Amino acid sequence: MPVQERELFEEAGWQYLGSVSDVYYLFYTADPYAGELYSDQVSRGISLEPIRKRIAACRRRRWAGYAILAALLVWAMFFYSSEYDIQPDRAARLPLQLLILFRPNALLLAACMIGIWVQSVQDSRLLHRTYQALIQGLAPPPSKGPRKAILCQKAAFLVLLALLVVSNAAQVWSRWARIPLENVPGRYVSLQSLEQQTVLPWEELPDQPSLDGKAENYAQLDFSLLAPGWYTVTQKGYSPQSGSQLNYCSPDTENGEARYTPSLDATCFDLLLPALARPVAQAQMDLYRLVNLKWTYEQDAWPGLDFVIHATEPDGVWQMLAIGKGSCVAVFRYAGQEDLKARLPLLAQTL
Amino acid sequence: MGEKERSALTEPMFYILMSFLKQERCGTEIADYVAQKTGGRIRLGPGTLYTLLGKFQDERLIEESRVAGRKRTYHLTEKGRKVYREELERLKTCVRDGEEALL
Repeated sequence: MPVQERELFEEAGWQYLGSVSDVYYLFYTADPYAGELYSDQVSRGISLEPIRKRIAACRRRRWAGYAILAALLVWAMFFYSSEYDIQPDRAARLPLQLLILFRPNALLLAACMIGIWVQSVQDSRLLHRTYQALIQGLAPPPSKGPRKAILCQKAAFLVLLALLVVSNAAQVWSRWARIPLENVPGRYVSLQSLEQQTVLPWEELPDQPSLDGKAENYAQLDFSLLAPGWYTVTQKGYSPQSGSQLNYCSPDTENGEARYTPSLDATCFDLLLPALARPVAQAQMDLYRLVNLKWTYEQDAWPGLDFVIHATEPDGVWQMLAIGKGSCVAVFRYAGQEDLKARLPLLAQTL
Repeated sequence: MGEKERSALTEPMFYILMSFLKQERCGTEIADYVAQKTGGRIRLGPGTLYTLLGKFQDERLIEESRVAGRKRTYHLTEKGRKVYREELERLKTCVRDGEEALL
């Protein structure tokens, strides 16, 4: 603010406090006889114009940002496919996206954003009403005064924001946190029970340490309001009998040249809506799918199960199996020598 | 595109434009001029004065002549003079109509 301008304000008994983005200048006075800063309503209204313009520009930029984000999201979901993906199905994972939308963190974030949006709309409307009245030479609309509703609204917003920050900081509901298999909250099939030959957990293999220094046998918990029970179990094992060469990435024995190293990934859902069971199972299968392999899907029936979907690839090393009963779903991805379909009685115990 | 139709000037706007008719002025001089011209009836608050100066600058009715130290001086543009004359004509018409109505 120019010095001369500020001096004129000070002559009128007002002290300059600071400015907000060069749009809003703050003055204060403790003198009850200090002259009014605005001697008529119209000029008071005109003084609000820069704020209105700034808010409108900000709103335009924000919507442009949302539009770009939405376009990117739609592109990523429906138009992007990896050149290595030989069986792309762009809508296959939508049921999982739905579960993700109902994660507590996503809901908290949405609630916070709605809170900010509601507040912003209320402020904009108040500014617009005030501006319109002043510019016509009228008094600004009367304030309704302090209201409990405003206080409650602010308090609720702060609580939501605090929850969001704390839950993120503490990694509550974080699907990335690995927990030991002993702490899995539901049933799961151990790799050894699936295998006919002896396999040991990967961590017990002395000459092949973990790639990233973390456990290779672990569980991860997830949570969605649509899937109150949701966990993944990852298992990697090895045969104590060594092959002639080290190949810790291959589940194939490669004619005895490599050590046998099977793996079993399983994701289990306890869904709120049983109607979601089959779509979620298919979505999880698509998530598990190794994209450079050509998969063949086969539907089967099994007593006591609503559906069985078995997927195989030509080399026969990898298999997937999805089973569902009521609102419970289990999806398996296995690499090894066993036939998952033949082990259905065992796998069905997961549900 | 034609210029947006201008609404009538308010009294502070009218007197501020009037203050520039004969000479360029800075903020303090404008406030003093208006107060003296109206016999103290209109006293421009600093917020009103600088808001209207900013608006007049945006609309190219006045321009900044020079900045000397803390002092910013403004002068009337041709457009500003035209707007002032139009407002004066409007006010004269109002007065004439009002007087005729009394007869």
